[in-house]
Amino acid sequence: MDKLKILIVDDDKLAQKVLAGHLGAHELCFASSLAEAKRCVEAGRLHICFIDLQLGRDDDRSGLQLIPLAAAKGVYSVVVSSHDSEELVDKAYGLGCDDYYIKGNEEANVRSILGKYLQKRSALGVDHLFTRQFITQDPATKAGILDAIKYAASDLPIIILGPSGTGKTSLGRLIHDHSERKGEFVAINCSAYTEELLEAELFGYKKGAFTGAAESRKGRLAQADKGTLFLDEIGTMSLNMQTKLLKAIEERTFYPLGAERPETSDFRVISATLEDLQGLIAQGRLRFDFFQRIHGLTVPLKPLAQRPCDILPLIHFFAKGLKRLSFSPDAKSCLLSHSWPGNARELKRLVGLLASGHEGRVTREHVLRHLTHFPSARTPSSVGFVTEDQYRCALRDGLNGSVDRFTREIVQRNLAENGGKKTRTLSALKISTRLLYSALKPRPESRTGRTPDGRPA
Amino acid sequence: MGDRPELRGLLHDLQSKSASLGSAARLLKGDPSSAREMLPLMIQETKEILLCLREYRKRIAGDVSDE
Repeated sequence: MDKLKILIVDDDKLAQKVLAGHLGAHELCFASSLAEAKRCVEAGRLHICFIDLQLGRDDDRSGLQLIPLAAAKGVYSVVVSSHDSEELVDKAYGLGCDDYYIKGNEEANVRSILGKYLQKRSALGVDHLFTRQFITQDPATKAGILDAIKYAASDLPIIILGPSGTGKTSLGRLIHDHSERKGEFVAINCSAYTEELLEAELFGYKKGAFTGAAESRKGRLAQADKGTLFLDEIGTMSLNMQTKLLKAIEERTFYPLGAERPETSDFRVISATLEDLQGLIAQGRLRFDFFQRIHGLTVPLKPLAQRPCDILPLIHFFAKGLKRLSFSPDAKSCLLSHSWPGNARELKRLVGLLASGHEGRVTREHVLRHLTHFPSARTPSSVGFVTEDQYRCALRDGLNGSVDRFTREIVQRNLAENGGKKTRTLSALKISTRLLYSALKPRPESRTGRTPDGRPA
Repeated sequence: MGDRPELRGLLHDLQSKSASLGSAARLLKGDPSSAREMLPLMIQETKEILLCLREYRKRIAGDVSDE
């Protein structure tokens, strides 16, 4: 983060020192009186100003006079006072202060205030955010990302919901980059490990903890100290593992495998999943208390097919540094009508394929040549409503079984896209409550399309 | 206390100084190396808190003796 120039206005030297202790990384200046503070603000180039209202025992809250002056100079002003009457707080905000907190709560406030200031400043550079860091033109996606960045500086856990390839990890990293956390961004895909391996990966282990543990190894929790732990595919984690991780998240301490002493780590949790977490709780696959620990802000990411306005900007982004591509109108129309089951990841792969081919001018045929590898492609040349995969599934599982699977997948996907709001899914899919709950109920794996008691699934 | 604004001012001062002292102690806990810089200020703040309390006692009871 840039070094900010910050003015601390307080007649109490200890209060100045306390704030300085929390703002050590920045360029600080101090003022003990109103006159001194005015001179500093007038001199300019300040980013933030922390203002104590009462500057001296007999002073009548002269700090208030500084607020409009700071606002006029574009300085982000923060009132730090032990006065907490509603009238005074209203007055300070009315004069143009940006934040107000009660003296003695520096730990809880200073970091988030710096985050809010950066957020406000970067709001001006928001175009840069959506054209360089997370490419999107979709208003709902932009709003969700800005919301997430607003909370980046807090320790609040965040859940990112979205299908594979929509940019969940990129968004997790973006949130980390906008936080004040100095540690690393440590990502782990929970579905890529067995329970035992995941435990060793997360908690680490000591030499000799198990066969093959020739050396001690630091786990991801320890790596994420003062940083962010990104748990991808959180819905695939076993209940047993959830119990262990819950304790570590709650207490920020954990035992590496084979260790006799606990280790501590100050990590912030961001989780991602494509599954409906409320549904997983209802199915008994997700502990409610674990969900409570990882659930703070929920940011939904829509599939690429639902934000076609992002397709061409993403192509330009992915093509940077590669051969310049020019798309014919029918190639563009083909790209815009494709269902993109692999989302942005699939698009990136397509751009790579097109750019490494010979054609600079891309036609519909070039696009189709590469898109045909995806069975669920919905290009203009696709025939009928049912894809080849769905047809094969019906032959294999029976028609009832495949219809049931089709129903469940659509309901669960829509529910995830709606952030778990069942009423929205009921209305979007025009289905009955009974069908919704039936689709969310866990089914035993069946190849015949029938439940174990012989009823149609 | 509504008719004693000077007491309200004293209590406000006390509240402000105690808050700073609490924050300083928490900061010191997290960074013991800052003791050399922080302790003199903390001791001074504590003295001022005591002065505040004595002043308060004086105003409500007229008693200035230090028990």
